[in-house]
Amino acid sequence: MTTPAIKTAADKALASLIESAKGALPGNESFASLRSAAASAFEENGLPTRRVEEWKYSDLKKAMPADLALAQPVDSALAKQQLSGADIIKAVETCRLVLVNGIYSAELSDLADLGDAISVRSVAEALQAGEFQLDDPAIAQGDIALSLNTALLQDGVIVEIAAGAEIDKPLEIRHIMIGGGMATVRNRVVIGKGSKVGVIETFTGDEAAYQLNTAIDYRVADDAKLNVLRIINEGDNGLHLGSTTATVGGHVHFEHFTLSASGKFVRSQSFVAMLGEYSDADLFGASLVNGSRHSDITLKMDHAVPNCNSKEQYRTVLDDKAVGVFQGQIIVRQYAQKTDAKMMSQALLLSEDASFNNKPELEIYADDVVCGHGATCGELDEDLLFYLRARGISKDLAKKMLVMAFLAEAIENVSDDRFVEALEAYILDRLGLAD
Amino acid sequence: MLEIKNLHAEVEGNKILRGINLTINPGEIHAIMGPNGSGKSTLSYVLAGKEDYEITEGEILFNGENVLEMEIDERAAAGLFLAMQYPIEIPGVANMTFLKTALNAQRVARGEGELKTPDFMKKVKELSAKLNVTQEMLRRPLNVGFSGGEKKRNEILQMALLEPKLCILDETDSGLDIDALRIVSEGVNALKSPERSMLVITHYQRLLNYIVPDVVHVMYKGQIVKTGDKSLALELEEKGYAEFTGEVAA
Repeated sequence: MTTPAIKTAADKALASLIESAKGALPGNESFASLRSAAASAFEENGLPTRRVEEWKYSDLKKAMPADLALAQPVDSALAKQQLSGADIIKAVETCRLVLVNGIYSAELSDLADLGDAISVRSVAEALQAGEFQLDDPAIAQGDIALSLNTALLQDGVIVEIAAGAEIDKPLEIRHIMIGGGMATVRNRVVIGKGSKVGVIETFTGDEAAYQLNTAIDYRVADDAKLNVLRIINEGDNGLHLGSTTATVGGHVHFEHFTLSASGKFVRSQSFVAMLGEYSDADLFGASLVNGSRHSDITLKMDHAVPNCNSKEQYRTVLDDKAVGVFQGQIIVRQYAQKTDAKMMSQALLLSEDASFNNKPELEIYADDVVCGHGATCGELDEDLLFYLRARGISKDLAKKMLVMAFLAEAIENVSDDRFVEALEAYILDRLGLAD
Repeated sequence: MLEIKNLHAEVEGNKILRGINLTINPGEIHAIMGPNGSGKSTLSYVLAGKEDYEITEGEILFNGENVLEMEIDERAAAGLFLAMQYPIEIPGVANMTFLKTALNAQRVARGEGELKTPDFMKKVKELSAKLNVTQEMLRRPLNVGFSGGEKKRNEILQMALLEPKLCILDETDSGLDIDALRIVSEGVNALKSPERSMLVITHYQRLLNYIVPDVVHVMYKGQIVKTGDKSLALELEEKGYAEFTGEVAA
């Protein structure tokens, strides 16, 4: 790779933000050296151009504004007021951790039903104490979003779930952006051996222009069961750079659903490493993209050990002049025999001006595996529309019903009924189909 | 009720309907018979408003209103119902949700207001029991995994629920065994009323043993070539369509 010099205004703005913020960001000396290594890497490379394969369809250089500043702390009364409007999963009762403009707020969080099995700590505090190590899986190494995250990391939550714990209420990690600016968050959720837990990540923001670089690291010990629901509901001028890393032990069931529903520019990327045998990982998702929005789902699934299954199934609905991206990569290492991995990405285009870029990739080094991928891209079926309309349903409503039906097939993969309910309620509401 | 005057329609430049004239009065049951490719199904789709067809001449009046200027859903709300030859499967839309949405959309379009859920449930339960449509079929996605007979019974359930003024049955008998044919026909006959008309399109006379028509038309090459009473159907059963195909082709 050649090293393009920093050129654009956004590159310069980001470099100077990294430089000026340095002193104010948390962390001991050893973390400071990680930050400066990340800063130097950025100085060298800048934001990725579209010649960088992973960013071919998502032009971050163009999406990142040239006037950058850190998001300001928010008065807690104002935050409280905004928070009530940020309740996007009303259908499900949760224990709630709240991050406002990237900073964890114990005051705004609702941990009443947390119990003894869960502990929560702020990342900023752990960084100061030198107790937060970065340890990304191999497939996430060198990722630009994570590297920027390290350079500018402000806060996050570290959640530890005790071995054998069965958590009834899902844990919600709610991110809310108020008043614009850039925020950088990294969360970590450590799932103890044999525990069962549901996590909901939600992202909301107001109408101001903001940039959220958010990362979450799931460390799933043997025999655990983890269900994650991630709802990206950013404001109309919000830029969302979201990374999920997961290291999965043996005999684990890991299920992850991403709903990309709003935000001006969304990149939601997942890096999953299967490190223990006899585990299943199901990565599902649905994206609703309209207006001139850009939504990118990128995932890398690394089968490093034998006898694991993974399913990757995503559905995208695009309208107006929206742009959608799906990049899915499955790597099956030589040692990972008996892997069963299936990937499918389907898109529905409602407008001739919308576009979708679909890039499935399989990299298989083992010889006794079952792997497959499929990709489709189509319009609404006129015969289905006719059938519904011939029964008296208006064209507009019939279209919405068919969009819902298309997405319902993605949602039906989800095993937690509460998540299904939350997703259905959200999408029905979004489509204007709620009773 | 329905007046079709000199109707011409084509699809991708192929002339399919070449001057159809047909008048159906309230309470009448008309049957249209004819060989494959004579334009029977096209006529039903044109009445319902399917967009694949270009109307080049003629008009259709439904209770005095110009049907060709109405949207597909407006025609349905006005009381025109097409029971389809091949009911479509729609994964992801539950049958029950579909029925409720359709009924309420029509009611709202007519200014009647939505039916409350308990009232709707009661109505569906009553009608579905008569048509042997199980609760499970109501819960399933629309027509998905339904047998041929189940799909047709579900069509008749929709018809019974929506209470249209004109029922168009497009080869409702195709793919039905004798028992299913009886259930479907009973369902249709239960809807007979002096205010409701029916247009039954079929290849075979068999269906007309159950749903007895007042008028029978023979359609060939996009025109109605003969009209008679129910005995015409019996005659066709015996002699086939050779009389017409020979005549017109010669």
